[in-house]
Amino acid sequence: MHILDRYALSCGVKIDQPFINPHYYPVTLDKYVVFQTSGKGNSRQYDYWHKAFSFIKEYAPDYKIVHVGIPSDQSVYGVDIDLRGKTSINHLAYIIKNCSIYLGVDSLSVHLASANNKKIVALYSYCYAQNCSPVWGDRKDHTLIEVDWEKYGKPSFSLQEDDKKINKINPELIAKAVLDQLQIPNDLDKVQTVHIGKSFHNPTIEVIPDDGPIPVLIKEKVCNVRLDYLFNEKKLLQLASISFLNIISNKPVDLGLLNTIKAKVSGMTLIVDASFDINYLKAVKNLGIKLTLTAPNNDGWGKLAEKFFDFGLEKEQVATKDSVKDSDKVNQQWIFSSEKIIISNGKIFSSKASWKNNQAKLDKYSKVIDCPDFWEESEHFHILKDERPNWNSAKNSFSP
Amino acid sequence: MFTGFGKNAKNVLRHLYKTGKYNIIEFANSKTKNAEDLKTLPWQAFGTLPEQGKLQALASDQTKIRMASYGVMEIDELIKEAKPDFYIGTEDIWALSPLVDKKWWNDNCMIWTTLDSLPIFPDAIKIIPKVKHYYAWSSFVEKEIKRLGHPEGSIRTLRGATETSCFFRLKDEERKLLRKEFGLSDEFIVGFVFRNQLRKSVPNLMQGFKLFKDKNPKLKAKLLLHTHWSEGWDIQRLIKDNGLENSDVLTTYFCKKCKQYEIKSFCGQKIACRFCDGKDTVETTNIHNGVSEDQLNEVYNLMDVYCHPFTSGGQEIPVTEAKLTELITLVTNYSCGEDFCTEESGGMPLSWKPYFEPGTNFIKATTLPESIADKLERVASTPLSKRNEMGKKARQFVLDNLSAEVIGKQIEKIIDNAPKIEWNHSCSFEPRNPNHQPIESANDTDWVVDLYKNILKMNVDSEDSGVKGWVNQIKNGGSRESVLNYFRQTAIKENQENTRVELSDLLDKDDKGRRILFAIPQSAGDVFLCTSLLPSIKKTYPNYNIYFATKPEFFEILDCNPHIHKRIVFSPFMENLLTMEGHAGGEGYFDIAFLPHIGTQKVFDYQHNGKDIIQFDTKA
Repeated sequence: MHILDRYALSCGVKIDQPFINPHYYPVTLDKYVVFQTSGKGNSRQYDYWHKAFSFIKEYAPDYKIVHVGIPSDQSVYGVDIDLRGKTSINHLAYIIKNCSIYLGVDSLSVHLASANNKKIVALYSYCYAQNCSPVWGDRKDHTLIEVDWEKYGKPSFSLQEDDKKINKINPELIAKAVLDQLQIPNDLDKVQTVHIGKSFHNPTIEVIPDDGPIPVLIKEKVCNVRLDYLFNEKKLLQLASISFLNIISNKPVDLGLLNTIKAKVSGMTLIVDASFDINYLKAVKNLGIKLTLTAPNNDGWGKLAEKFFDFGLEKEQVATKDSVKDSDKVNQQWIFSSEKIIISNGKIFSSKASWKNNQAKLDKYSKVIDCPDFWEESEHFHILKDERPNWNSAKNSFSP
Repeated sequence: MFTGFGKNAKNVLRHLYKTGKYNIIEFANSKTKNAEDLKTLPWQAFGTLPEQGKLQALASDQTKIRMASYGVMEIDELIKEAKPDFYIGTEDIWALSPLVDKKWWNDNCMIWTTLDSLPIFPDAIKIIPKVKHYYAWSSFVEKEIKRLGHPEGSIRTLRGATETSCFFRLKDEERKLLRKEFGLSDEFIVGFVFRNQLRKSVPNLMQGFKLFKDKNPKLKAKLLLHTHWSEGWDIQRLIKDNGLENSDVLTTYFCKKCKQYEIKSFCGQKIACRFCDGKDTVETTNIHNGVSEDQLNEVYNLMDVYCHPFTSGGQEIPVTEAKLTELITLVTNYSCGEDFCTEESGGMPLSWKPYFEPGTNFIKATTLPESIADKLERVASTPLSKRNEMGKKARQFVLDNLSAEVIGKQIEKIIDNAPKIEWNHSCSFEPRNPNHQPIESANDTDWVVDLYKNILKMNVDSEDSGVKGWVNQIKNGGSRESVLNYFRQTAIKENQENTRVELSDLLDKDDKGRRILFAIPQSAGDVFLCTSLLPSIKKTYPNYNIYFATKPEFFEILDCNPHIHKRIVFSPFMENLLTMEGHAGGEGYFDIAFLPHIGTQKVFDYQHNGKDIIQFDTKA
């Protein structure tokens, strides 16, 4: 039952037209998408809006995305105009009245769009669309995208979810729905997301401390220095003169060296075993360096956690090929993008596997490399199957 | 399951965890419920503080925040979920005593607390019959309870657990080198490690030290005060008032940048560091920037004798640390000090005189300066070999009586001997009383305590920081009326569902018999959707006035709505249909109260997997 039917039945009255008094707000765009996210809890916060925008802008570059809502609503990369917190509800009514389409989650805006007979693409992830879909307007103008309940289980009806169902919706589906509603030709039906890792939306720079040149792009950024990949601690001095370092190592790093560069060390993660000396760890801490300890999540973890009690020991989780569904079907059309890059010998790599194979990153997308090192980092990847004949052009498209 | 008291809880929990016998759940004070750092503990741990939203609601009341940090808001829920076989509460007694009236309290619940003054806190005595496992950290309490005629075992002694591995006597050579590092050689160093609070008898120590120094001019005596000089006692002034030189008193400086420390006489705060390039990074050691345990061990090893005069205390950790470094400890012979000043503990007693603490009337000790001077002289004149012998005895006393292993084993015994018990999980809410009339002739403190007890039903005393905060506010010109108003509003808010609020002032006087309430508390989307029902309501009841109740932030959605007579602020009491429409002797406020959110927002009654079909046409 729709929630408004429930309200009507509760009062014993009929549903008529809603009422709101729109207040003028100056938006000078001809074609714009009104876009709304949510700030209440996480269950309506979709992490891949920027990917959907990327696809939309490939085909419809003249449409601008206007983000509405309140300041605490989820921030999204790729919007053109951010009006969050800058409008009243009555302003919002005016902005929606003049838009081309509404895109977003279940919210006040979707109902305002519906009351104004607007085209709508809305996501439903924590409740059924049937319970709160747009009430007014032509149904043909509405594309309601629900999570695949059969596959991922019934809705939580909760504002907070541990494993957000909304992220199970693929960005190319959203983009296609918007383009179809706007009647813009596209071949996005040939694109299919295979996997999006939980850390995909977190940009990360990793540096292999080899003797090659260092690209200028890491200047003043925080970089993970992978001493666990190549233990060349002398390189730390040079790196610290350029960037802030988060050192990752499975061996103790010279204390004198750490003391010299400590002002530029934003953290240090040690992958420990029983051989690590408590006094060494204390000395690192006494330098004022934020220390994180981690160890493989196996039977020995508890014993190590007790040994390193005063420092706290995290469980190291390593992904495998099995962590990615359908990974046995990988083929040449499987490509991936990552917000994480690895820098080595002056070159940029899109994954640890690419680095090991010496395949430098040439574009936004790279081909999937079917090896354990690749799957280990899969939490950072958006993997998709792209069967479009001209997919190379897609690779060069807008991307954050 | 454990609560509170930092170091002690950590030491005991580690011991219990290592036994492998117990499934431990820690309820950690002052952490948020799912704090990240709790996840690295080997056992399960939850913070006592509720989520941010609930905390923000308490923002203006320090007492409530403090109570929340002790777990008052979350403990019932945690007990309900954890179903512990044994509960150990180790924290201040005033935070634990209300728990004994909880419905879940049973014979497998233990209180392990510190009581430090006479007479024993009345609530601590009152709860004796309800607590089967009742322990205090010092024998002083057990003796007093026995003296008062309570049966033996009413409160037993179980000292706080000490981690013994960090503190030890360095080799003589190392000690000499350490002294050299700070420009010291053969001085006779009297040490005191303390948080600079008023209960630490710094003036008495200064006087005693001066007497001692005057009597022993050749001794090159120095007083090392390992504390922060920018809180509590004005140490600089005390030095001057007692005729001491600045160079007679040493302190510990710490650089927050390079984490190095230095021992020297006081020369100001935020000074330059001699070890790194920090220009203003050095301050006297304090709770925000302080030495590590290893460094503190070195500080103890600079001392020749440790002197700890205080008014009272639950268990003075520095005394045990000093003993572990094999120092003779001079301790005030009162409160927990009674356990640490005996010959077998490697200590010496400092004599004292009683005084009554203003406000609480607890007996506190003022340590006699003459006794301090006398005992310092006695130590100074004791041959080194004898001093070393006493120091070893001091260390052994801690190892035998306070080590985490010894205390942990005692806890094991208590838990292992406890019977299997069934928990009763029901927890009740005591209605607040916003209508309580405080006695206006009472002094400010009693008046505020009365508000806490009788309006908010909270058990506090005059020492409570919240009470002090309100009293200060009144002293600084705030009116009693505004304070009373705050308490009343809080009580009303907390009662919410139980309290009826008078609506009549919001309603027109001339539309009796023609009023409709339409209540929908939230959200913006639902309020907007519901505006589509108003034309039909108005059409059905043309002569009625529609009062639309919602949260104020949604009022703008209703701007200029032709069907609404008045917008009113939603309150939970409006959900009582009979109260709104009247029943029995009650006349009610409205002829019709539509509460459509009851079957949606309040209780889910519409989802039906999105598959149900309505047999009526709901569209106009």
